[in-house]
Amino acid sequence: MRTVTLASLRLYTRRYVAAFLAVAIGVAFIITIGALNASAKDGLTAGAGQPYRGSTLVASDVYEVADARTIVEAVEADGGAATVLGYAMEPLRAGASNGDSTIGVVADDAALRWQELVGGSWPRAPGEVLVDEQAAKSNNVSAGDTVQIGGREFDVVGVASAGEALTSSDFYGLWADVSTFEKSLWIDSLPLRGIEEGAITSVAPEAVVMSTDDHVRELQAEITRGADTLTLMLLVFVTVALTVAAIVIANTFSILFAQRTSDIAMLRCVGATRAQVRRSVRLEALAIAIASSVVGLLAGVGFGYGVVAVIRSLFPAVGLGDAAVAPLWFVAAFAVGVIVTVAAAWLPTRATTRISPLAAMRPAGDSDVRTTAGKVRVAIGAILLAAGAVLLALAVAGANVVAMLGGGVLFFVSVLVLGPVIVPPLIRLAGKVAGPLTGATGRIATDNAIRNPKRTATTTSALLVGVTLTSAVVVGMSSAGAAVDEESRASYPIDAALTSPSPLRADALDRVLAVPGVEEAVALDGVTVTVDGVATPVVGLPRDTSVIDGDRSTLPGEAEIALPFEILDELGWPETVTVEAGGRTIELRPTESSSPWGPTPVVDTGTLRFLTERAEPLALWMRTDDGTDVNDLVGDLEAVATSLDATLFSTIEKQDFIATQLSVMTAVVVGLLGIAVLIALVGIGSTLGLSVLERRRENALLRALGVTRRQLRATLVVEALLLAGAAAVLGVAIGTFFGWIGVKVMIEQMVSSGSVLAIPVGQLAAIVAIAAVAGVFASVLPSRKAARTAPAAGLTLE
Amino acid sequence: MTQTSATHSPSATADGIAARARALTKTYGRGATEVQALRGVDLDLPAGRFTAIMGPSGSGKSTLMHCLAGLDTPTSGEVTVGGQQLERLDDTALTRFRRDHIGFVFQAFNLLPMLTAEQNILLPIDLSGRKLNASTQHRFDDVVDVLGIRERLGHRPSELSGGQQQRVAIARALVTEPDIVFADEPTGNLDSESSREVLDFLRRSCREFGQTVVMVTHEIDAASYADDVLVLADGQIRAHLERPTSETLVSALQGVRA
Repeated sequence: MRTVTLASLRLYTRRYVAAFLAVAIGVAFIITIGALNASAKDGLTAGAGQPYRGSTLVASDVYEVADARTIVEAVEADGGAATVLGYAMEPLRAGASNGDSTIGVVADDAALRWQELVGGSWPRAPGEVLVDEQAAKSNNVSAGDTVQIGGREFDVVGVASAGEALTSSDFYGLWADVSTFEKSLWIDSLPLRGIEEGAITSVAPEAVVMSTDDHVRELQAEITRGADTLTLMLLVFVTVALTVAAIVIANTFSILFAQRTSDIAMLRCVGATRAQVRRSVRLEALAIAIASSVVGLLAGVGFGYGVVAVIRSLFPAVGLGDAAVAPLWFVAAFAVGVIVTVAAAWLPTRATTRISPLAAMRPAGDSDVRTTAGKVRVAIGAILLAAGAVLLALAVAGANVVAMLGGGVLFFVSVLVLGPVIVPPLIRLAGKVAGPLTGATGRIATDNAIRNPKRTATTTSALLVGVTLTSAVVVGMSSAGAAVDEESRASYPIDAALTSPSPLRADALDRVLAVPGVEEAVALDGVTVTVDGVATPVVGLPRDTSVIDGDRSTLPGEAEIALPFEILDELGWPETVTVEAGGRTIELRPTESSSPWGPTPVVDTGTLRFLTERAEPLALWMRTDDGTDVNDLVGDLEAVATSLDATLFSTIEKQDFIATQLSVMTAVVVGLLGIAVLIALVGIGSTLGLSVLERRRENALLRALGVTRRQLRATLVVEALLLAGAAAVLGVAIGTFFGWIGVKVMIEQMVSSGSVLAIPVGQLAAIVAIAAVAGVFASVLPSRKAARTAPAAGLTLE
Repeated sequence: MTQTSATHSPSATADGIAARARALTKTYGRGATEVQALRGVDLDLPAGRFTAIMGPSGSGKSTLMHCLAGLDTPTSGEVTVGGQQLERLDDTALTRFRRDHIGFVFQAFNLLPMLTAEQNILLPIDLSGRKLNASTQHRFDDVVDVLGIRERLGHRPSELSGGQQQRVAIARALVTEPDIVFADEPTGNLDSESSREVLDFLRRSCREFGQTVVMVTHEIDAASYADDVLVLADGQIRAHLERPTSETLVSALQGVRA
């Protein structure tokens, strides 16, 4: 039997190509993730210790700038040295470039300086800063330049490299300077030296002090945990890809063995036992499993290391290290590849033993490959469907995520089980709709596509998995985006405001409106008042409120005042406040929550008229265009604000940040699911290719009867389009349904306004279009093969 | 020929020749494995007649038919069908020519399994993108009635007997009123009763529709239905018999083998 196994492998190698690719891609995927995991850990843990170089102790859990200042002063008073790790995010103006930049601390003490000086000199006096190598390039700044950070001038005296440190900033200033950015300064920890632990705890009892070694070790452990968690999440996508691979493998094997029925029957005729046949085909599967897993390992190493190298050279700031994949990853990936292949081939190989020796007597090529969906299958499918539907209904009713996941899996499995009943009618319908366009070619393609319902269903189900998940994610994310939008309409009702304690100049409105990206602006009149003794400007509502882009429910009504968080906090959240201007006083109620309308308190027009007859413009509200580059817009507005002696209040970056994060997340998830879709397309190509072999005689007949090569190719392309299209349409439908359930269960509980389902029609249409185009690609090789069929081939038995 | 009912005699070219071959050779393989299937065949197939090409296995009769029918290209020589020289056509033009001017009946695997009998018969018209007009509908009805398959039109090939399948194939070959119909061992897979039926239909299509029919066969009984018989051996035509009887055929074939 070994001769037979080896000969079969040799003869049919090309037909196994889909199974081979599916396994190899899956295994390569695992190794790539292993490489990313290893390099992330290596890079991040290596850099973790760098900023603590030269220190003996580390103080952490220090959050207030004042506390940090106390510690630094205490250490220096005791003859030690201290510095602060952290950064402040402040607007930058450097020549033509605007935008936010970060400024960290460079230690006064030479031993605690963790940055490498690349050019120029260390800052010696306040007002001097270093620029980071990368930031120098991107902002076109070099030593000797003057930059404005947070509205203050700084001389750039040197260029520094952060190496692999995780705490790098765009600029580094002395603690004396950086500590003045009290509002935006975020403190990570304080490296210290030449001091005892007790000296710190006495001045800052909240601080956690430990030896540098311990702190770095803890940091590294935390990074490793983080990387492992991320890796686990990525492995979910590996599971999806491998599930699809298993479907493709099972389908490929069952088609292959169906085609070899007469060979196998012949073996049985000449005396092979069932067990021998089964062993032989399973050995074949095992050989494929091993070979493709090895290729997958090699491809994974190549791809994984390649990806890491590309990320390292393009985005050095990410801080990836060497991609040394641990041996365990190789062992696991190999084992998973082999097990998935052998397991997927299990049922098809078992089916070969049911082939009777008599099958050898049937003429080759005429074997009826028609299969139909059994009643048992329909019954099982219906039960699963009902169970899934019930669970999903419960999930929606009780906002239960576990029920949702369980119901989703049951529901989807039922669709796969019922595939042979659902998919062919769908394809027939599509064929009928497209019929007038495609003529006889289309009809032959439709008939071919549904000739074997089980095979059709399996082929499409591989693609169905990927398309369904992708659609669900796209719908879910877009609904989450809508929910966030809803929230941000309440939290950020205006995009930006200019405020000033003294009246704005007459041309202020025109200058703001001249900034590209500002759609609408309105000046607000006001007067300087005291609110329970706190002096502040107050403005009245504008007559025209069309500038407001969000929720108006937080606008102050009659006898109300919208106070910003800072003032409310200072006053201790009073029930009512007394507002006084030029001797007139009025009792006002603060609005329910703190004001989202900027730092200047807002009252209604009546209240303002009561407070003063001579109101002057003290604030300017504006609405901006979403399409404008955020950094440019904010930079331009900063410039206008500075020239008007006004302060810019902007929610543009925050709104943009949330939107960007959501779209990045969607892109990453869709990209990862793309691997499953890729494997499914390999499966479609394989089914078509194997069908072409099976239909050699039919294709020859068609050619004899007058089907041109082009028409024959077209039948294959149309068949692929129908298969991919059916999977895509069904997948988008189920995915949208799942997305809707997900939104009901997970998102709608969190937002106040009820339904937020947002169906991204464009994206869903794009999914269908991409699947269709990819289907056409999958049909390229099979259709070429089909078109090569000679018209005289296989027509005579001579 | 009692009823030349067909209004149209499709194969009538100026000289009454439906297909012609001149100095036809076909060689397979190269060097040591070279096989000369045809070694310079000259023949004229008269229009409106039922011609049989006979010969033992390996005599080259199927190759000859494939070359005449534009299914295969000869190594050298000329083939003219319905006044059209085939070597001048590229693959697409040749395919269209086959579709519009040549009908086929094969030994087995004549019909597409997923189409009904009616769909199979109308396939060549469907492929050409033509609509079913009154005259093709009339032709279809004629052919279907003559072949007696009207009750079977809605069935798929797997639901038809071997003889019925061949009758559907003949109907398909006739429905486009081709210049010539080629039948390759049309009775090879049939029992004697069905064989007689099929051969009778081929002869009737010749008589009643004026159709030119060329049949390749190695069965003497089958060949005896033909008006003309060409005997082929070793890639050359060895004999040409008109209205042969079984006896003349047997002796002609024995002459070839000797």
